[in-house]
Amino acid sequence: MGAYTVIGKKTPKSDAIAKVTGEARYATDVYLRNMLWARVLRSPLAHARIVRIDTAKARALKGVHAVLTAADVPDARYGALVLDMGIFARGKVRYIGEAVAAVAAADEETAARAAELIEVEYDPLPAVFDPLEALAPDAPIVHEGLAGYTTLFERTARAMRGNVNYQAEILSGDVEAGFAASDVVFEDTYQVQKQHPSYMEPNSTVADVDAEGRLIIYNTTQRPHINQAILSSLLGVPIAKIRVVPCHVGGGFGGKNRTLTEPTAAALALKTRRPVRLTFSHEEEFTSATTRHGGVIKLKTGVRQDGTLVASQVSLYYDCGAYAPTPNAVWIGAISATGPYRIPHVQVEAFSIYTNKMMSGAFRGYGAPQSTFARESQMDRIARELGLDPIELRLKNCLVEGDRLHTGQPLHSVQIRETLLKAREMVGWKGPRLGPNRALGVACGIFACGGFATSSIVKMNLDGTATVATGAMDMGQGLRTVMRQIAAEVLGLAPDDVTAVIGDTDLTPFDVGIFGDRGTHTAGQAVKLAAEDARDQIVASAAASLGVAADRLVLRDKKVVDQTSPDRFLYLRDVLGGGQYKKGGPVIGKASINLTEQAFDPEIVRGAATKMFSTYTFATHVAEVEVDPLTGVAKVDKITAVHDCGTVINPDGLRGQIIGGMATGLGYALYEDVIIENGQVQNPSFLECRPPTAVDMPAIEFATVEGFDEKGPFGAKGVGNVSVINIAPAIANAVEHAVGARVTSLPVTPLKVLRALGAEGG
Amino acid sequence: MKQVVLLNVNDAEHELLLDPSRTLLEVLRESLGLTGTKEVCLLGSCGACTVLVDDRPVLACLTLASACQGKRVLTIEGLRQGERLHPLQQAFIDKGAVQCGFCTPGMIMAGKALLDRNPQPTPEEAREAIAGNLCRCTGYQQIVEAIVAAPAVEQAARTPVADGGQYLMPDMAE
Repeated sequence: MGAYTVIGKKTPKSDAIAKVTGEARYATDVYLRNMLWARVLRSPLAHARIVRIDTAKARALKGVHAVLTAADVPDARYGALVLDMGIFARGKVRYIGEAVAAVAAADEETAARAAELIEVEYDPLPAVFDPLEALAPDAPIVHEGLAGYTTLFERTARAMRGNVNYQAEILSGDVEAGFAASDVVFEDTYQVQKQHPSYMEPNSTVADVDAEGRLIIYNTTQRPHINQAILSSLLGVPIAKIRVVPCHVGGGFGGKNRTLTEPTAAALALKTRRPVRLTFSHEEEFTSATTRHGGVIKLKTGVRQDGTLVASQVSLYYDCGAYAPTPNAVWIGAISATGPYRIPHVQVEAFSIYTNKMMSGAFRGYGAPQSTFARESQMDRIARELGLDPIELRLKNCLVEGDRLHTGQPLHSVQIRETLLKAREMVGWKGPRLGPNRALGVACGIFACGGFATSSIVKMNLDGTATVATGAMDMGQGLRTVMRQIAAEVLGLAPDDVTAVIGDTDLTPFDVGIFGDRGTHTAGQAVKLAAEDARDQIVASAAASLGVAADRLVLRDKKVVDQTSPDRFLYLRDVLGGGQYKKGGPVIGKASINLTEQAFDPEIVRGAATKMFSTYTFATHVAEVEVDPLTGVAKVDKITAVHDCGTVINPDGLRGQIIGGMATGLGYALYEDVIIENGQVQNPSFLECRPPTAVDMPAIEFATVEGFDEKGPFGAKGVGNVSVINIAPAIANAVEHAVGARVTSLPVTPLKVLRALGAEGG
Repeated sequence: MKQVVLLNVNDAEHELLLDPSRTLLEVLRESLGLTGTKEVCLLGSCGACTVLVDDRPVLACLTLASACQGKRVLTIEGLRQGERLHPLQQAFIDKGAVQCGFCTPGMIMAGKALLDRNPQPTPEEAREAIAGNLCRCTGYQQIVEAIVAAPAVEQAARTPVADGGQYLMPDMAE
């Protein structure tokens, strides 16, 4: 760690002015001349064969320009690991809310009326809504053609059968021997709900076709380059003929690491040769977008009397709904399933299971909140039954630098112990009980951080300023500003001397998308390397001019300075300037990296959805909760968070990520639940499925522990996901310590607390 | 049957021929091009479309445009005076209260309504004032801090600064 001039310093977001003045342009703010409005007709049935679709009346309506069904688009599918979804339902519908047809019309009202005029005849099929029931041999099959689908992972023997679209197994040590060597074995089952990402801005795309016939997409996305590739494969248009121009993203949280509105809007634009806008209604967001995976987690853990963890068997059953845009959530769940603990003998089996429900997808925490809730709830049960302090139990078992995770991956930059010690000090821990009906609950978390392919270009301008291009997206977390800070630090500039161009696929090099704590860590590292490439070219050029060795030169204050005699320097503008006469031509730095290149050991991991992650982030959360034993209401008064996120690049951004993550974790813990009965979402709005408001938030204290990750820029790691994953178990643990009610399913509602109290009290 | 509606928005008079069912939100965004006011739920549940009508916060998605005739409508676009940001806008930037920005216009308008009637709010009062405005990014803490800090920003802005004022629009590259 060096003394930085920009890294770690307060740097306001460069897009904040546009956002506080209302000038920032989001996808829903794009109004093009001659623009048509799209409307999607959606399935009213959870599972049915499509017998007939008649679009004649809709086509005949005045103002209607196009009506499309599966028959009008190529028979192509897309997905993350399993390519299972087309633009429209083909042959059958698999969930209530699935797209069957779409209309483009002169105005919104006409589009809506036309969609109602489309006649669809269905032949209902038996449906399955529960992931465990979907595993039964006689369960209705959601995708009969699954075995023939293209997959992008190594198929395991049992995967891709029945309703299982993805399966992974992790086997380290010998769990049976481990259980035999244990003094006590704990077996528990936990259940988790579907939580909606609840980004404020709806999914929206305006698709246009330019004079050359290129498809231009204005959208809201975390992954413009993947959008571009998916559109190419779905529509049969070469990637070079597609430009994705992402607008400001009004919140993503994983929910916009999707391709939902783009293909429909694009197909309609290609058909009509007019700009077409498709924006999800608020209800469509709750029926036809994606939620966090619900599911069931089974844990069997063997422990010695002194609290040493010996063996753990984990089964994860994640309900991915009718399609699997991100089945690998259960893979992340499997990685986080042992918690940040050393367990010598581990067996994990992880299933992603189809049901006839709305899709599950990525959402902040991505598969880890579910298994972390289970692991951390059981840790407290173990502590209680063995008469151990919950923090002591965790300290006794936590991972340290150089340990291997149960997947066999060696770990570096591991500060979970430090976060536990710091959190204990911050809350003045003397055990969980604070008084009548009031207690503290602690939970730890581990999250796979960073990796995958990305690239960056740093263009040096004639006056010494720089323009950074990255395909990575800023969805509000502040990546644009972090990129400017990183390049500025390397090039000896102020952040205001650097412009960041992000996302636009015509102007930026490839990035796979911003998810999994890879923005600052991985895309940021590419920016750093590209800036260093530019710096090295500048230094070489200046060294020749000054006649000194390159290693004596540094960049600072827009100058190239000889460290050994600081009065010898060149202005950066003079090194770069001269326009057409610049020796060696213009300076452009570039970097292409992939931080996920090493495969897992196939003896330990079968069906890995990824290669080894770049690094891991760690956090400890402590919740202070008061429970009213008469009503069962749990009130969270305070959350203390301690994070191991490596070097801090932007303190305000870090703070925003940590507190925002807490809010999402709070909603997950206590009330957010997309309730589905017989395939129908029962509460499809913010009125009925409400994220936390300003008055729901507890007092907050947070700290970071000193750490340095060798692969991240200046030692930085991510923080966006780990800030969510262990809030719910901290709260559930506090509820138990407060009133003795153990709730094993989320959310921890008053009714569940009362039932648990009834069970305890007889 | 369309009717002529006279609207005063951000001190500008507009004469509009409108279907009486048009909401203030539709008219602001689609007739006047004022897209800073955001459309999210159309149920009055999120606060993203908060504007001020005669200095009181209203939800533009639940307000008919014709009902605003003869009243003063203030949207996020009307807060900035020339190059000078409103102190609350500046406070949002200073406190790191802006993330994705989609709730920000509604938050600022709700915060302004509070500050207009209570120039020195406590953090609790700020929380109450934005309790109807949802934000998924921030956890609200920095927004509350910005509302509480805004009066100090305004005070600082009144103090002459040699270089013409630090609260002028910075020359940002993006």
